[in-house]
Amino acid sequence: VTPHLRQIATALCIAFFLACSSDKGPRVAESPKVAPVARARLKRLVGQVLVKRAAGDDWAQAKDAMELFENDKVRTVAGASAVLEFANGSSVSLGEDALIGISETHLRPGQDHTDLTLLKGHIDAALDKPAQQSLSVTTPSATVRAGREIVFQ
Amino acid sequence: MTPWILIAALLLAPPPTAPPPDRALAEGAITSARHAVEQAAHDTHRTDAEKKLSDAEALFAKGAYADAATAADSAWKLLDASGEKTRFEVQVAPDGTTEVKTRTGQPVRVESEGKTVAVAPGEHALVHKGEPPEHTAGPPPVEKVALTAPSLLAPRDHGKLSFKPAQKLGPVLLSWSKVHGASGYEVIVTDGDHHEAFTAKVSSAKAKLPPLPPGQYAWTVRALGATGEQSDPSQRSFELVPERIKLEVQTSKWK
Repeated sequence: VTPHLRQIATALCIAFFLACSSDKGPRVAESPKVAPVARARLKRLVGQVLVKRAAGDDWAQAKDAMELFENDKVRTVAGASAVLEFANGSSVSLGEDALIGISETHLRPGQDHTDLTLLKGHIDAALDKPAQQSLSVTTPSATVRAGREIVFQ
Repeated sequence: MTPWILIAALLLAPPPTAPPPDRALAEGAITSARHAVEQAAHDTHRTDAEKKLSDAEALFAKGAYADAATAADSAWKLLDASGEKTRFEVQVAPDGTTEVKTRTGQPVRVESEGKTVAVAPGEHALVHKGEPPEHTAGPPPVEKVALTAPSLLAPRDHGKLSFKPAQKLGPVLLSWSKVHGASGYEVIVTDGDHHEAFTAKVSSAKAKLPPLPPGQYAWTVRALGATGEQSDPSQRSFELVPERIKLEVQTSKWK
């Protein structure tokens, strides 16, 4: 059987099963909603620092010790700066006129990993325990990875 | 064999082009370990790490990706006994160009267009949009600017500056115009015997001299650049003189 025929047969079979299990089949129970976990805190704010929540459209003035969650964004204007402090002791200093986002991270068990997206501006990152942590910064032109690639239990 | 059995058998068979799930993880772990080994000092840790890395590469070649990742991770761990923090900087320009500088710790990996480079402490990498990273050892180049000689403002050339009579006179404030691209200025004041009476490096376009003995002085200013370059000197002179005491003698009414 050629791979091409195998793919067609697989697609037909999936379509058949989907049609058979339209309304009568047992429904999978919806997973309970899990409270979002803060990924970082904003500290040492200088000047105008703005935050946009993942679910919101508006930029709001940041406050000291404000918690940041996945898909939140932080923006600094000219002359402003802030520090993102992570629970594991690592930190990222954000310079003026910068835009950064906390990306979604799909963690494997035992992993201590952070994904950030830097769209413009300057950051100064410090990985506290690089043997146990990793940090990824995605920019419009590159991906920067620091720390241990993988951490096994 | 009925068609349903055939379909079920096809479904259970692994897809022909699906990549093994641990392959990417193993690739990343081996890349990290390889860069860590390259940067490590030649000691027993490095020898052990090289052995582990070699095992990892052999396992990867055999398709044992999970085992390869574990072996590569062990190699990485052997070389990270320092416990030093990894510090690095990332700068994104308005056109999307990314500059990465590693300051301390393990090398940082910069990836673009399928190419990965390791940036060790003291090194930097530049990535233009849609291009692989350019890796350079040493600090990023600083654009050199030809510095012009400062234009001296005050005191005027050959000026006589008078102060209340004392052993030392002053203070005198020297000033000149700012030079584009200068990070500082060097000021040298010599007395009439060409001995240095004052020297300083200042960041602004002025310098205050301490009180100096009366006499002739020459002052020279050079603009200094961030990478050690300097401009031609500009020079003037002045003279420090004590003020004359004005004696007013009134004629007596008594004769």
